[in-house]
Amino acid sequence: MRLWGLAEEDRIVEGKEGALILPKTSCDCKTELFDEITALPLAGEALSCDGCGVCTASCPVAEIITGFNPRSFIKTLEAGALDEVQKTAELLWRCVSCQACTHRCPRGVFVEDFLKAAVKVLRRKGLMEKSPAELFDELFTAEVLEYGKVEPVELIFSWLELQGYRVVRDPLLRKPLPFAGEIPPEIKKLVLKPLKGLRLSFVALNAVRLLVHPRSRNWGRVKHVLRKALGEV
Amino acid sequence: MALPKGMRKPPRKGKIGKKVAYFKGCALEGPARDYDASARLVAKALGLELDQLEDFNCCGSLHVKNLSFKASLLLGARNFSVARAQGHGALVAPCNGCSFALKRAERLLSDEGKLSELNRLLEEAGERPVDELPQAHHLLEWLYNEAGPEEVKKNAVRPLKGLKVACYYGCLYGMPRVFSGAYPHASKEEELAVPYGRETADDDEHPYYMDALLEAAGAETVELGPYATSCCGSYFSLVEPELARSMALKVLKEAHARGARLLAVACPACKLSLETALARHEDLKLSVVYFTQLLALAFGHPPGSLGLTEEAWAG
Ligand code: SF4
Ligand code: SF4
Repeated sequence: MRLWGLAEEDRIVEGKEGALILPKTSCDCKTELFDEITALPLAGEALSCDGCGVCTASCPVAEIITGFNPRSFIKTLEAGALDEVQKTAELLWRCVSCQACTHRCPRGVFVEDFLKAAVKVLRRKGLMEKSPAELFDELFTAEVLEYGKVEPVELIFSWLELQGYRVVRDPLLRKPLPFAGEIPPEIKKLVLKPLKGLRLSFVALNAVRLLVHPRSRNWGRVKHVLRKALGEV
Repeated sequence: MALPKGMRKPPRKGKIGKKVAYFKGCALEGPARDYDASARLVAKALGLELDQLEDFNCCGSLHVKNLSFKASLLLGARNFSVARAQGHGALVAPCNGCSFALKRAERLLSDEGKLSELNRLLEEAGERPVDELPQAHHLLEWLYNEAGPEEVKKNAVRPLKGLKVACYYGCLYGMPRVFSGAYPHASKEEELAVPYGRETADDDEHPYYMDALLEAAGAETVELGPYATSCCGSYFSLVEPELARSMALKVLKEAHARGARLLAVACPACKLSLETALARHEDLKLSVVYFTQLLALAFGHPPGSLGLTEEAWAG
């Protein structure tokens, strides 16, 4: 995809007479790893990264987690030194997908998409463990696949259960009971707080929704096609 | 920072349309019912019409796209198909996650050959193919452009006098520009060399639509600076709560330090993340509310009917 109207030829920096332009990495051999990542949808734009660092400067996670650095992730994966890639693999999943990097990159790199593509390839190659972020993406996607729609309260409780919290479900429909069992205090507060302000009808409607999971029409057939798409990329 | 008043652009009436497809999203069907109720009241008061998409499916948010590009486009395409079947050329979503996912699908499906590829999948699934791509917008963009501050002012029978509000837009409202179409409003139109800029979209670095509407409703807006668009961490509010909390806290602390009583948001996921962080920091005397709740309040609706508690709005 072309962004900012940058044509292929504009991406090549040409040395003018008398100017010395050093290559942006220590070796210009693109690693197989990098090839595999950039072959994924939207990730290929990373080939035009010139290492300016605007992505890292825009990243709110980089501000908080030492070592989290989207520019250096791109360059590390490009160079492919295994010990560095290993360090990257441990940090990579903490990207919150806020899109600030992609928004500001002057070269039109889809930085966030590149990072998610990198996670996929590193996982495929066994260079990275399954992260909590991936686990949550899977949980969410499984609910979409099953029903077409997500029930946020049910999602929250399924996640807590996966994390080892004791969630109490009613014996008949196996639906979570929000006020039984053990849940983190701030989540409890959050579930309780709106009850004070909400009209009773709101509460009743939400309860019904929790019992009968919302579902999109014709989902049986869509599900079949969606499952196939999920298996592709 | 919200763009200063002199640099703001007037609403572009008629560009999106008074009647649009309302992509409510999973959260507004459930826990964020108060957002839904107030959005409807506001639209109605302003003479606009939200035609609900009864049979939408989940937008996929960030999670589906993280697992599969194709699956995320299929979810988008099916939603566009439903909107077209209801006769609409524009969809409006009240959630940053939904509006991001829909705008992304719209942009990516506009690439050559993509729509016909996805249409084949839709047909395989027994769904109607998309004849023409509808445009996706955030609820806030629609309200600003089709009604705008003037209409809000006319309807504000009970102006929000003395209410200090910080407007928080969140990250995915305008980012990334390649999907949202956000562009620098202060630069002259002819200098606007942004290929995907969309006339109705907000400023790319200094969004102001919410500020403008709430100011017109009589509120005093408080400047959040870069924190107006810095991520609240909602994607991680369950996955990595510590990280999400530190991100949300930056926004909350800034709003508090600037003297805000209320933090107005335009997304149920932002609200969840900010309130989770707030639950541990009650010293920050702040309440998080939807901007539509404040508008509806100014239009004369009693707070109880909007799901607002007394403590939330009476400073
Ligand atoms: S902002 Fe873009 S060009 Fe600059 S380092 Fe990041 S990805 Fe590369
Ligand atoms: S999308 Fe990820 S890498 Fe990019 S700025 Fe946000 S947290 Fe950082």
